[in-house]
Amino acid sequence: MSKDDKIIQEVAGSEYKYGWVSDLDEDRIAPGLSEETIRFISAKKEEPEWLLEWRLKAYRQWLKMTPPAWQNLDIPPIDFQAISYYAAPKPKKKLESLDEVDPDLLATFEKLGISLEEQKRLTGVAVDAVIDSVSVTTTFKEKLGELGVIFCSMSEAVREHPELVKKYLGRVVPPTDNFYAALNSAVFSDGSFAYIPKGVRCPMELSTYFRINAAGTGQFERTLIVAEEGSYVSYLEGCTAPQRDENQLHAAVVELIAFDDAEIKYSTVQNWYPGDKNGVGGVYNFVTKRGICEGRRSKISWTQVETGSAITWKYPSCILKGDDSIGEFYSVALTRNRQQADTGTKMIHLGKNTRSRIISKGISAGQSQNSYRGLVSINKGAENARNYSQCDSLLLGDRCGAHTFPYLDCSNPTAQIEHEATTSKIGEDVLFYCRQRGMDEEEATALIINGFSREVLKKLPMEFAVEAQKLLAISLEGSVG
Amino acid sequence: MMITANDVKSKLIENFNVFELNLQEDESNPIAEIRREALKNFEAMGFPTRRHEEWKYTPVSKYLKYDFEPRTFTDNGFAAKDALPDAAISGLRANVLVFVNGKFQAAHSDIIETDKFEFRDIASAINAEDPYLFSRLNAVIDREKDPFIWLNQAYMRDGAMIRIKDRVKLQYPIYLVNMELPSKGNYLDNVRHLIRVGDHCEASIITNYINRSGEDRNLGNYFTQVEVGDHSHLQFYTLQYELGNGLHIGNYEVQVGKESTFSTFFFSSDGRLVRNVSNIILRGEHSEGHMYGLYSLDGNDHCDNRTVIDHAVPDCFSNELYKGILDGNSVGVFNGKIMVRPGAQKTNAYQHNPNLILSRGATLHAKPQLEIFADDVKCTHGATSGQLDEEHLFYLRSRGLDAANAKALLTYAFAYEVVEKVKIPALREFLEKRIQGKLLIHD
Repeated sequence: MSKDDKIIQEVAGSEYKYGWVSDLDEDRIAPGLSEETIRFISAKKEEPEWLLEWRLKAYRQWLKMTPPAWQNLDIPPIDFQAISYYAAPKPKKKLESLDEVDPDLLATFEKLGISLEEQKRLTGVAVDAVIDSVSVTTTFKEKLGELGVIFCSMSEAVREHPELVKKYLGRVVPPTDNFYAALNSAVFSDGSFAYIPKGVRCPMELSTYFRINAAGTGQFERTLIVAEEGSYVSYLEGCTAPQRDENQLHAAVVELIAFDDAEIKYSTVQNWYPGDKNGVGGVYNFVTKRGICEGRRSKISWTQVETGSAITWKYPSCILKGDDSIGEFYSVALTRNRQQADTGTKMIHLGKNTRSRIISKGISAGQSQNSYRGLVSINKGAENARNYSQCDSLLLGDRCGAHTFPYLDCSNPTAQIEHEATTSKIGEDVLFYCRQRGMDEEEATALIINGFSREVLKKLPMEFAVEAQKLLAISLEGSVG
Repeated sequence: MMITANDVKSKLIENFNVFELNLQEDESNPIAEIRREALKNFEAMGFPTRRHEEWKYTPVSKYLKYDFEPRTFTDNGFAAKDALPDAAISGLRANVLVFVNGKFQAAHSDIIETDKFEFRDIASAINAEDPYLFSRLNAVIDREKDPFIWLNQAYMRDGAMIRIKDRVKLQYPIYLVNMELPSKGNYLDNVRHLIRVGDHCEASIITNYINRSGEDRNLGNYFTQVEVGDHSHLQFYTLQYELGNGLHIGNYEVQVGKESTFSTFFFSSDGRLVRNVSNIILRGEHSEGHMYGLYSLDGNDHCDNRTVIDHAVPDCFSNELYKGILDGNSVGVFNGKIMVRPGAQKTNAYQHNPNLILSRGATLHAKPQLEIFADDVKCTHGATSGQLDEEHLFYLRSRGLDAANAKALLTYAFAYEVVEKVKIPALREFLEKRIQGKLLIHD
């Protein structure tokens, strides 16, 4: 076996590092989905009547919908009745300090390397930690409170700020937007809510760590971020998941709303359990993420590093409604073994002088299939709209696939669209150059992949950039050494 | 009452017997079986709707609102003689084959190089139960996708069967003229062209589509199968300048042998609905596929260009350049797919699709696409959309050109990148004049 092949096999074969199950005392309902389930969830969370109605409406619509079939993915049929739609750590008292948190939970965070205390003391990151479906603790709330920034769990937001939730929930992703968004709207358990008032520059990065922790529990997060006029917020989302043999469905919805001159930066590092070498198990990640640049000169920027999940179906999008608004999408997607990813973005240009930029880097190894799917749509009124897209794919091994499906729709003659895509493997000459300078092949591969992804990684906030680099390294371990 | 695509479909299926009867083919002829199987496939698929990914931007059902009747007669009153000058390309000496309303016209055709290739019209090939014909009819590759291919197979009436012998270099191009002339009513013409180029050959083929159906809406459903042997070179030109109100569906299936080169050129500039689907399979090592296209649309033209370049074996090369100029309320669609099959290592594939949008009403849908299943490859695609560069316009205007001429000149330059690839001088000049005429460049 040549060294090349060895590296590739190692890349393809490395096992998931974050697999374990932490033993939490859980409160969960029997599998199955009906109006009763939804009423149960809603009652359990002590939700107002309007939200229950909203959920039921979504559910009734969902019943009429069929799962999307256009993506380049091989999705085994999902039995939606076999999923438990609610799991929560035991009914909680209001928590004042970390001491009151279940010690098991804290240990889980420690294993993840995100000890809340350390976070609190050292990094200045406010963490709204979500285990399974219910928020357990929120830090730095007071400090944010001084500035009027609301950062809490969705359930808390429903209780404490119903007027805001009612006003914005479902505004960007309507409950009936697509099959998985409708499902989420019907059964969403919890999530994060952030509201940045006018003119406030959020002084710290807001962050949520997700963990899927109950076997057989689908996780249906709902995130809503509203940035009022002239505000700025950077939001981090990161996930790891325990190793399991059964598939777990994750259908999250994220909505972002940016008003005049506001900016939202949303970064994701996703490393859910991708299944084993033979493609057994792994998380199904079917996410609807969409932001609207409602106001003039507003900006929404999505950055994602996707290394996990058995199947990824995810298209963070921007609706550029306000004049002079900007949408950005930076993505690194790495697939190996039998992972499948169909991910990309949609940039919908409605306003004048709107600009969008798409940088997508796909890395496929093993027998994985990695697709970029994107839409750039320039509507009639989008004078002088501008788009630049670049999609590069790197293939490691001869049994994987890399695919590009860009859609460009243009109805305005003043718009300018540029799209380019390339697919290749690591050049022999590049490897040769590195080896000549004393690196072994593994180091060289790591260096090259790092360079290949650099344009995206550098867009991440510092804390995340480090984690993301680590993640790429771990995912490619064997070659990176 | 409004006629829908479904009505058209059921009527076609119902009246199949009548069609067969009119053709007067022998009952024992294997064609009957082939036709019936195709009809079954067509029935199962039906006409595509917008929900079909491949038809997302071409709502063909919208146009299927006339009682399209498969044509079986040759109109006595047709005026091919009067219409033929439209197909003239000045200075072009060629082996001319004329089809009018889907039927071969021997009287208007003229083969110069009789010794170099065999020609037979499909209708007589069917009656003679030509084994080569049947072998090709049974070897349709893209069996799953396009109902129009099956419609063609079920209802095909005529076409050209051309076989170029091994080690032949054609001195003159083969010029296939496909005309549709008015004959009171809305007709469906299903024409099948079969082309086989032997080993060590060199040839060029020009197909020209002309539709004069005017108020009647004729639907021309063409399916062309091309087979290129080993070590051969074929240039394949398609002109669609005279389609008027006609609906035109063109499917092309091309297989290229080893160390051969296949080049295709599409020039589309007219037609209420034009759809060209080219499926090019490089199935011999070291073969090359070159695809050039220029769609310059205006008014309510709708032109849908689909190309698939299928790298089935290692060491092949492909290059694609499709350019679009969209004016008026036209809709331009481009879907170019580069497919690299598992094991097709050392593939080099390039694709570029620049578009110029000249008016507020025009719409572009571009979908360049890569599907790569081998790692040692170099594949790139690019697509752009924009308007003429202000600075270029300024440059020309400051040198004395008025706005209209400056715009026309730059548009012409944009188009010329494709036109200059045409290797037949007479054809190139013809195209230059066409485009100049359309852009109204005056001295």
